[in-house]
Amino acid sequence: MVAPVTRATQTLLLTVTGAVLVRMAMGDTYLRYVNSWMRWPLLACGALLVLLAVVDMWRDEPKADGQPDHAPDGEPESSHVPRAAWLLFVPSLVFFLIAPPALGAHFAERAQTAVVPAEPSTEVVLPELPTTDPVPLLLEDVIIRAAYDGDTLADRRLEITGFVSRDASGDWFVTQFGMNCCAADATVMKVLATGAEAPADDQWVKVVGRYVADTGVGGGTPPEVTVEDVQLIDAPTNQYR
Amino acid sequence: MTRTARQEPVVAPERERPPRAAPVQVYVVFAVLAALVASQQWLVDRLDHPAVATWSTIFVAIVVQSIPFLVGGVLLAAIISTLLSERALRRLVPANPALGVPVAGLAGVALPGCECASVPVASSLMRRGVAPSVALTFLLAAPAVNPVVLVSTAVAFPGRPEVVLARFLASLVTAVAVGWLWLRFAGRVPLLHRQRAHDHTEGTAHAFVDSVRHDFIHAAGFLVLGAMIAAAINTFVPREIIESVAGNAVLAVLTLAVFAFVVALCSEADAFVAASLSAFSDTAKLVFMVVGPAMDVKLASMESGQFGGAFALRFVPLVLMVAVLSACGVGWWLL
Repeated sequence: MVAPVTRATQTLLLTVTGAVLVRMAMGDTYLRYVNSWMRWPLLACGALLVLLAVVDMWRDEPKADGQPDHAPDGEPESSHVPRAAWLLFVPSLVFFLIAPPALGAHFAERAQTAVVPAEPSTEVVLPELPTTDPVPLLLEDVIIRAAYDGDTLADRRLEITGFVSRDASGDWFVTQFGMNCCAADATVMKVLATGAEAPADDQWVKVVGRYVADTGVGGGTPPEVTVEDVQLIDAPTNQYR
Repeated sequence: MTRTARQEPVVAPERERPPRAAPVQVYVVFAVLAALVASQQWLVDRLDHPAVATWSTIFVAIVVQSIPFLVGGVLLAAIISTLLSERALRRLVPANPALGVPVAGLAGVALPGCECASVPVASSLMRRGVAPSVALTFLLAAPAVNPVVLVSTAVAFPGRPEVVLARFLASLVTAVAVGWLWLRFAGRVPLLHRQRAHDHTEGTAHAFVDSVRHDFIHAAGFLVLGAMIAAAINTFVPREIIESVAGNAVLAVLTLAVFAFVVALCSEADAFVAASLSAFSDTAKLVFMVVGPAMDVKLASMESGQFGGAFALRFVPLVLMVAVLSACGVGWWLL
């Protein structure tokens, strides 16, 4: 049988949870899980939880002669919480023990494909690409331009960045996740890379390649590039779009 | 007038006193935590599997995303239960619950909040004597019809204002219909409320801090439980399985209702996921967006913790049913 959470343990629980939130938001770790605007809410929240714990210890301090000032059976009514409260230790432990990375190739195979935000049948004029060669493009731009017949991509060398993921048949993709609130709602954006050996899964790469005509039209399937050059790079601080 | 109109929350007696609290516990827990963190290097290698990593990323993400909203919710709940006077509350909420239900539904428009924030708020409203049906309507409406959610829906469905309107109407209808149904039929369902001894014996500041602390710890454990389940579904159920039933109109609606329940997304984000479910009909997507904020595994877990199992067993299926029917009706009419 699980023991009830005593008031002292609750204070520890608040301290640990608050400290983990602050720790996460002080560095860049929080970017693996949530959006960048969450930094200040997380810091405020973590500080508040630690403060709650400190206030409680400070309040009990003068009576710390072994006789708590509460109800005669040792615990004040207000500190009765369900045993499920023990579970609040789990996220902090998972954070420290597993140090969950940003989502990667494993989830890319399963995740929802990002939606192309318009009907390809409508008449849309996409601006011409800049004249630099190769032209750096975000994955989402490649996918959107390909969805509209790919005319603006024709005969251009594209430079795209993302991590390596694979599908069941062994093809590899330059991949990135888009995120709205947190990693749970991540949607995947992929560009199929052909003509080069795949680097290891989850490796971040900068790929230069030519768009293969008529791939990715309508947004139903990923666009394809013929790889000319693969450069291994470090993962960016914020790995989501 | 049936007697259900003046339903009073039933105060469940504490089942048991915990055995005399051993101060040892906190030291034991502290030692275990320290030992685990110290053996981190060794454990990391044992746990190094892509599926475990994916699960833990999503699990931590849901918890980290929800906690600031939960803290916001418990602060508001503490304001309601310690600072707001009975008189002010009575002015805000109509005395007649049948009238209070639609008012609470519309009040949800003004309060942008995540669904996890509204559970402690609804609980504190009930503690201050607001009829449960009114508080529950607010609980359902606040995360579903606020401006943040509607704007994000408009962004996810560009050029389709009818989707935003349909979502607003279907969610509001769900909240109000559940409120009225609860008022009419569920007056005797026991609602668990733990009394707090300190509320009247000590100062306001003390009561405020106690309320925040108690409500946070109370709700957070159940939030974590829900997040664990939702992360597991996200990690281990491939999306193709869900896509495979999109062709059948009835199956599609039911599948997305179940999907919304188990993945437990934030109401601010679910429109984007709905939009990406491109194989499904608009009505099925609407069901996804209406069920999600009203009821999901995380909310069900928190509500059973806050209000008791007997409550959750009736409330959860009722909300799911009403939400699906209302979304189908509005979808058939508008989309």
